[in-house]
Amino acid sequence: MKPQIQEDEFDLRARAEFSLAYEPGEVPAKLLRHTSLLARRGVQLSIAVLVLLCGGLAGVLAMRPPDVVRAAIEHEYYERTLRGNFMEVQPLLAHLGLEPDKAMPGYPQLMRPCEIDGQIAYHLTTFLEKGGMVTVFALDHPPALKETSGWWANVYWQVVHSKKDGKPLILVAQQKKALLLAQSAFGKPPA
Amino acid sequence: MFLTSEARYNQWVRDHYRFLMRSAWALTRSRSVAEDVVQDCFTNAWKCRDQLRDVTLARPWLFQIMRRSILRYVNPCTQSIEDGDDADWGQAPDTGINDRLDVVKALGRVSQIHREVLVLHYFDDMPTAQIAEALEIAPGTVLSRLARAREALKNAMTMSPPACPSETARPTLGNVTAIRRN
Repeated sequence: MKPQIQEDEFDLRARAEFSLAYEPGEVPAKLLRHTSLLARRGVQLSIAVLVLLCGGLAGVLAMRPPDVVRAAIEHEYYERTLRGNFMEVQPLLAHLGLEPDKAMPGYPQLMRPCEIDGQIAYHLTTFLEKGGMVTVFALDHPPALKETSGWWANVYWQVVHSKKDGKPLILVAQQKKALLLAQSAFGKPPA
Repeated sequence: MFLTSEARYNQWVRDHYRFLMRSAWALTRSRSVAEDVVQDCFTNAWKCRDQLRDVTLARPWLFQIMRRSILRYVNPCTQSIEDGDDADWGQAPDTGINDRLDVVKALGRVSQIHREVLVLHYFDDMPTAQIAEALEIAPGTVLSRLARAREALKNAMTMSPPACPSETARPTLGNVTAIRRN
């Protein structure tokens, strides 16, 4: 809506004179804002998120156990509640690198052959007093595994080498204490 | 098109700087004060940039901010700006040109409220609704004030300036000169 004023010669003259007066010049550069890229909040936030993601990813990758151990952990999860003896004690002792005439450590809950990561494995779940439940896997043709340990998928895991032939055994337990006891029961004593 | 707030602000500066600077200069009658006022205006506009809902009203909104900045330069008791680098009643205002233009000189002699409406009408040919927005008054008031302001401007052109500024009562905000903010 324009002002409803009847414009006359005076208005034309006023406009003409005003257009010649008050020449402001160009926009001073100091009035314009130029925030550097790194000073922008969005960029800072993105960098912080990226650093956190990278840190998280690096942490996850650092904690990630070998494939066969992850397969063993998954297997243990699905058979956690399974109980029974599905194989003889002596062959299982032999696969675990223990003397066949000795008793099975702890109170065995589950003994059975199974398949992990496409190969035959021997599965022992036993209750160790003052430690808790621990699951031991011996593989028929185990890959080269170093003696390491860690935490993955809400369980503690450890790779130890058997007493007799030094084959890698995979120990999985929900409590770290159980792993310590299992290590002394199944693993080679430190040199 | 999506614009960041900084890009939008810079666009305001590019689009409205000339109008605001001319208006401030005409209202304060001092280029240096006008520069300060316009800078102050853009600083405040940046702080309140989210308050502008309708981008088509950016110019009246900026004028409104600038008008408040000008009032901060005015001594609230005397309604005049103290001390400065500018012309007084008898002389032409600092318009940036050497020629003495009657209308421009006369603009310096009308009251502040008339000067504001004349500046918006003649400098920018701003619609009544936007003038009302800029001056925070009703559109009907704009029309009546503009009519009175034109008459005041015409009368000011026919008036002869007083011989000595100190002996003559000055009009409200007629003598606008610089005061530096701390």
